[in-house]
Amino acid sequence: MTDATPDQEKMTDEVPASASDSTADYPVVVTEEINGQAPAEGEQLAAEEIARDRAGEKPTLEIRNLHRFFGKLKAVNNVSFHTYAGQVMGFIGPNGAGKTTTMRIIATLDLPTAGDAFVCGHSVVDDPEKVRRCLGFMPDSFGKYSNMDVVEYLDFFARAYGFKGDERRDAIDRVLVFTELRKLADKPIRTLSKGMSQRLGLGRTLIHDPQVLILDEPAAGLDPRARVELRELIHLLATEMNKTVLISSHILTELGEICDSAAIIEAGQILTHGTIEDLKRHRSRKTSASGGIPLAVAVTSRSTELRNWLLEQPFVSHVAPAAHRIVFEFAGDNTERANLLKRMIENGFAVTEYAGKSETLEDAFMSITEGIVQ
Amino acid sequence: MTPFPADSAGEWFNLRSRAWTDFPDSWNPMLIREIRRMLKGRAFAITFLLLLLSCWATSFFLVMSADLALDLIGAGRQFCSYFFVLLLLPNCFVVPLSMFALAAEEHSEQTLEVLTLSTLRIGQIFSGFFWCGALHAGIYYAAVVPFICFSYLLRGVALSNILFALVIALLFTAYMMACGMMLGACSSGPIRKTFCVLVLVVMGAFAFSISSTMAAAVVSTPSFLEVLSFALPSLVCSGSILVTILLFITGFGVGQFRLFDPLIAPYHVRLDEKGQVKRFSVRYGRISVELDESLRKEYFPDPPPGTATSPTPS
Ligand SMILES: Nc1ncnc2c1ncn2[C@@H]1O[C@H](COP(=O)(O)OP(=O)(O)OP(=O)(O)O)[C@@H](O)[C@H]1O
Ligand SMILES: [Mg+2]
Repeated sequence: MTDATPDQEKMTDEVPASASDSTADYPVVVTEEINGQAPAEGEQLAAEEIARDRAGEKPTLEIRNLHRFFGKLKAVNNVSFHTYAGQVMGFIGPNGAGKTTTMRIIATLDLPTAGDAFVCGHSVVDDPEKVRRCLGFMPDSFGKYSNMDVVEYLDFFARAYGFKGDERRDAIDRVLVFTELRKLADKPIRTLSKGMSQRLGLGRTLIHDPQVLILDEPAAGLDPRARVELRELIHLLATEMNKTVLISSHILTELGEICDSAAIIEAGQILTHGTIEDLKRHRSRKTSASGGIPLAVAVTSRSTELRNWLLEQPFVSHVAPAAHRIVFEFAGDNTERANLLKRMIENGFAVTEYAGKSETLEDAFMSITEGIVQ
Repeated sequence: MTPFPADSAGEWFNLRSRAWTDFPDSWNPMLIREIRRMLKGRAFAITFLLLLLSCWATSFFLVMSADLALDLIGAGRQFCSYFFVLLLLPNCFVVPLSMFALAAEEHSEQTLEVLTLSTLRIGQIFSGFFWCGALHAGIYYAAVVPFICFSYLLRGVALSNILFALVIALLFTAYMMACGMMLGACSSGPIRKTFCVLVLVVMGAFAFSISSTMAAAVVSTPSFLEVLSFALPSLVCSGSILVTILLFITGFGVGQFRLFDPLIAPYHVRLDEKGQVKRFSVRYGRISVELDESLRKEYFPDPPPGTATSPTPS
């Protein structure tokens, strides 16, 4: 940060120390406000835990109070988060949440209305050139020139990044090997399958060996196998090559396995930000605030009868109808929970399953976001 | 730099033996890309053959119809002016339209953003396009110039006149190439693209009529001094109008390629030490202005009470 203004330096110090009150009404906004009030005291969130673990290490990607308005539309409204080398961060949000807009700003393709983003310590507003050198951006749709082979396409971008001679050939070689595209090196890129062209896109993004990778919905439209393969590539990038990856996606279960942390964004605002485990816990906390933990019970027959019976029981609420598996919320303690099962069996229900419903990221996403359309 | 994982499989074709590595590093990457694509595409070969065929057909038709024995000089002049028309036709329409397509493709295929992120500079992108067009036009010239030489052998036109007409043709070709490229750069949307194609065709027709009339007049005027006396003023006159138009288009086109929409000027809010909004700054030209209170209120209303920033005891 060569020409960091005093406020930027001040905020660098503040970020790891800031904390948010997650016991307040949801959504929790884990960001500092634009007018820079003192950060709130309260329960530490995972973002801060990560920050503490990595004391002394500078985040490779840091977003600070980012705003981007299109006229009256606040596409990105005070977004802040940061992530470190070797980490994969998920950027989750419904359509139109502002994911692409945020990523384009990080990639220096758009300017923020306010706030800043730092890639390897360089500001996207003040030093876009330096940012471009250490950043690879893969847009959700990228152009494919007609009449061009895979290898020619990579060769063009290697030249465009100023690689010369053997250095250029090695860069192409490296990328072809990494993305396993060398068998298709002579194939015209227009004839590649979706999975293969996503690989090529990733390869193009990697040609100058950037430290930070921004991938906008790379898994969209891929079949399960291609998705798993892409996931493995991204995992390799983070673990073996110590790169920072910011990946946006709608496929939440996929993100759960690949990401170290995630940020959920809706209507331009970060609703929550933390590790995957934390997001799942977040959902549990919310449920307990509304009165119970989710339980599922399965019976061989008489499920409608059981449902009506459940509605009359104490501590039971939100009974959802389902064919043979009934999900409901239970607010009692463990003794009460055991008693409920006992009574169920006494009443002659043939119970085959009685379990706490496991939390998925999907649930977390559904409970955190509200479906706001702006 | 972090090393990539080593190659695990053994069999692997030799990159260094491939023809595509032959292009020197000093060449413009855009030019190399387009040469490769041109060699693979069929469109260029077809227009080139069409041009050759029409040249042959014209000379055949002229030889059949003209009474060479009676009026050799007149036939030479006629031949020469026809070939200039044939030369100017592709160079006023085909070459600019193909350059238009090249530049417009970067918008429609969304490759421009990816190019912007590379270390290619905007000047390199445009000069790459330009060399591409020059190559394209050069091949058309190579096809037609032998026919013009043939008409010179009929001894109707002085060499100086032919050379002057060639200079005029080259000037108009270069002009239309720049127009095609810049209009392509402007066409960052389907509506704009249609409009720009129309503008390009109209400009092509305009340039074609001026240049072919001038070339025909130059080759059919015997005295070179006389040629200079009428051709130079008309060149200066039409040139000054055309160049002004081109400058406008260039300003807009270059702006589009910089991802800068002049209609929506990007601005940026800076915070002072207290975190208060201080000024807007525009990256392009780095203008900065103080942000007054009413604007601040409009863009950053005070946060509602009870948001995360309000301190609450745990
Ligand atoms: N250039 C623009 N001009 C005006 N509005 C825009 C522009 N770009 C984006 N928006 C608006 O900003 C909002 C956020 O868009 P964005 O593309 O960032 O969403 P997203 O999270 O990427 O959605 P998706 O999941 O559909 O890709 C949308 O309401 C969109 O209409
Ligand atoms: Mg998007």
